[in-house]
This record gives sequence, structure tokens and C-alpha cells, in this order.
Amino acid sequence: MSTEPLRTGGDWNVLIDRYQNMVYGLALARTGSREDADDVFQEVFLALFRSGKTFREEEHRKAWLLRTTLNQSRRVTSSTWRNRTVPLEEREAVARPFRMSEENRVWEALQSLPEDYRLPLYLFYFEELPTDQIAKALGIRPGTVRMRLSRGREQLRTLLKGVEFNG
Amino acid sequence: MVDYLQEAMKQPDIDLIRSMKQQMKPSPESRDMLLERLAAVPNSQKKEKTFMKQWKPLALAACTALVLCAYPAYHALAPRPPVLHSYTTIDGSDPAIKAQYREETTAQGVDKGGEEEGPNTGELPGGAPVGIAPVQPGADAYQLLMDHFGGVQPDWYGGAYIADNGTLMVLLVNDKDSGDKTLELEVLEAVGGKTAPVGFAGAKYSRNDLERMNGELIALLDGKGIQAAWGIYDDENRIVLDVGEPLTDDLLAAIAEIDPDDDAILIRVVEGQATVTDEQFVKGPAPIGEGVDAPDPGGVTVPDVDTVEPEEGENPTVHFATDPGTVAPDDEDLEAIEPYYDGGVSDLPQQKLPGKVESAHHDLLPVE
Repeated sequence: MSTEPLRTGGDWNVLIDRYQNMVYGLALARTGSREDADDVFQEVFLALFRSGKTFREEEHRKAWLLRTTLNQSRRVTSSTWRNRTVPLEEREAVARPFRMSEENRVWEALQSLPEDYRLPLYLFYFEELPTDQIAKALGIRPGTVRMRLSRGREQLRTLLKGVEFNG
Repeated sequence: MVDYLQEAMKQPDIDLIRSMKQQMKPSPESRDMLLERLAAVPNSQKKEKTFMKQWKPLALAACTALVLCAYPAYHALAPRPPVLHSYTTIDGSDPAIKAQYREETTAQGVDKGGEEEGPNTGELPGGAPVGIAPVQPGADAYQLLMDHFGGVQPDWYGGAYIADNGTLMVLLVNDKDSGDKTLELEVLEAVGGKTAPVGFAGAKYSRNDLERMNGELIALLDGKGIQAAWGIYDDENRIVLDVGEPLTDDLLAAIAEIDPDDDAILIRVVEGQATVTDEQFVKGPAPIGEGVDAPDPGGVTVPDVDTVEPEEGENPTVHFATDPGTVAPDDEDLEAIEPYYDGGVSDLPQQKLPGKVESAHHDLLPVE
């Protein structure tokens, strides 16, 4: 991924290409729904456009997008609209968002964890963020991030005991 | 799982997570919808944000200035406690104080030092008693000076009193005295020339000022049921107000308005007298002269319920101030709450001779 700074008023396609997976993946980890993740993805980039923000460094833009993604995800999951009745086939699609069974099994195990453990694990292993950036994105201390990573790994190990992966 | 995840992070080529990440991307429909929504956002929304961003420092500065101005403005507009006039407390039972009052009582104006006996004009300075009284040169000079004024005291005139040696001391208001002896010459010419028994001294307040303040005091204390006696002390160039009990803060504040410099009125709380007899409170000096439209130079206020009219043959200037129910305050710590101000005396030049109570003769204690 290129870290070349982008201007907000520049080519939005480039900006979206660079960060869409990060925003969408975190929204999916937070909401557990591809539809909600799509909504969050749109709202985050719309918010960035409307804010007119300029960032001195690309890391600042990345941190802002992570925080905004979490906030938008919280807003989506707390809305009454989300509590609607979900058809069975749609629910099946939500439960199995990946092609491979191992991937879905890992994802299900990750989704079953409490949010306090799920989000640090996702940001650490999927987004490859260091603990200090995870702490900044989640608004907690780095020591707390390390503690939650340790406990999250223990719970994942218990959940996935005996699971064999084809690699 | 965890080991696998960790291993996967180290070996991306067999990375399950990378495979999962490749599947974690928004749908093409969602992306197209986003681009449409971005294109539909009016530029005014973004400009408004930019506008606010540019004015944010100015808004912060304005808020800071508002806070900084609000503090002194609050203090400027907040009600301030009223300024109270100072007063001093004296022990009326002290023999020295008694003797002082007794001396003042018997020293009324011209009854000391005179060698000649003559008819009393009744217009001597300080309201000398009507009847036969000693005659002294200063008294004649005073009368001549009053005739010269013709009933209208000039602003440079601070009052006059007769010293122990019979000399008429004329006070000249410092602010009105140019220092070129013009006023002294005018007085000397009025009283008969340079050989007249007249001396001069400086003063802060004119006699008119003191009489005005005296009139305001009368209006203030009249009908309040306060046992008080006061009068203009020409030799001290101020008014001395004696009260039997401490004045309320409201009255002290009102007196402070009359005397903003706190040196024209001396308030003395006379303690040690359980009751006030008929002779303890007397009226102050009589008017300076007949036909002179001057305010009452002094007075006594007594409780309305116990006001006693003077009997026939009694000195009409004497009022009674008997209040059997009046008890002196038993507060043991009523020492001078504020320093005794003697600026009116110290302002006078050195040639000022020891004065006597002239304008107001107080009879706080009965003459034995």
C-alpha cells in the first residue's frame, strides 16, 4: 500500500482504493454484517469529504478513518432499524461471508468474542497495526491493548481447538 | 488458531488472513453508490466547514476576550457594600471625660477671660447665653465681622471662635485663600484695622459647608428616636456628633454620604451613662445672628415619646432628652473601631490657640 499523501480534494477514486478495504473490514468486524459494512463504508468517506479535512501525514488520515469507522459502526448497530427481522437466507449469508469453510470458521470464532477482544485482534492480525495505533484508534491505553490481545488469543484458542486448516 | 494466525503473519504467501482480507471489500454497488453520493454533495457544505475552520481562531479569541472582560465588568457592576462613616467610642463614666464635658459646659463662649461686664448682644459666636455676659474685644470684632458679611458668609470663611486670650480667631478656607493676604486685610478692615484683636488660621471646610452638613444631619436624625447631640465646633472646623448608643450601619452609611471625606463629622459614642438626664443633651449653638437665614447649627434629637417642652424661664435652647428605657450598650469592646481622625485640627496652622467649644456647647453630664 502506497503511503503517498493524498489531497482530499484530489482523486477520490485513488483515496477510496487505498482505504476501502480497511474501512470495510473494520466495519464488518464491528457490525458482523456486510450490508451494515457497506453503509458504514459509504458514510465514512462521505464524512471525510464533507469535513474538508487536510492531513499533514497519511498516518493521521488513517487514524481518522479508523476512528470514524468505529463511530459510524456504533451508530449503525445501535439504530432501531438494525433490529428488524432478518430473513433466514439473508441471515445465512451474514453468517458465512467467506468462500472457504476454514475462513468462515475463523471468522465465526472471531465474531463470537466480545467486542473488547474482537477489535484489537482484528486490527492486530488483519490490519497489522502496532499496539500504540490500536490504542489510539480504540481510545484505550497500549497496555490495555496488549492485555486484551493476550486474553483474546486464549479465548480463540479454546474456540478453535481441534480445528484443522488446509492451509 | 493463534499459532496459525501468528504463522500466517510471518508467511503471507500461505496467509489465510490475506485470503480473508481479499474478500473483505465493499460491493461494487456500494462503491458506485458512494461515488454518486459524493458527486451529489454540494460544495457549499464543504465551504461552510472551511469557513468555520478559518474563523475558529477568531471565535476562540473573541470568547477569551469576553471571559477576560466579564470578570472586571462583574466587579464593576456588582453591588458594593456601603461605605460607613467612622466613629469613636468614649467612656462617659471616665472622670477625665466628665471633667472635659464640664469644662466645655462652663466655657461657653465668652464667659471666660473677659474683664469687662456689659450687655450681652445675644449674637456672640457660638450662641452665647442670653443675659449679662462678660465683654471681650474679640466679641466686638466678631460682631463687626458679621456686620461686614451682611448675612451672607463668603465661601472663604471657615468660621470663627474666641480664643482664651480674647482674640477672635478667623478661619480661612485653604482652597479659597490665595495667600496674598487679601482675605486677612479684608477682615482687618472690617473689624477696625490692624490693631483689632484678630488672628487667622486655615481650615478645610467653610462655615457654609459645615452648616449645610449640619442641616443634613438634622434631617437625617430627626424623628429616628436617637439620643444624639451635635453642633459645629468652629475651633475644630468640624461637626461633633455625640450619641448614646452606636448608630446603625444604615445611618453610618448615610452620614458617610454627607461627609464623604470622613473628617467633617466626628461621631462619638458616649458610653457609661445608663440614662440620659434632662441636662445631658442640649441643643447646639444658636444662629449666628438675627436675620441670618442659616440652618440650625446643631441640635438634639430625642425619642418622640419622651419629648418635653422647656418650661417657662428655662433656656429655650435647652431641650430634654430623657429616655428612661435607654440603657447603654454593654458591649465591652466598643473601642474606637476606626482611627480617630483629627485631620481637621492638624490642618490648622501653628498659631491656632487652644480652642473652646463655641458653636455647640454640650452638656452631656449635669453640672455639679
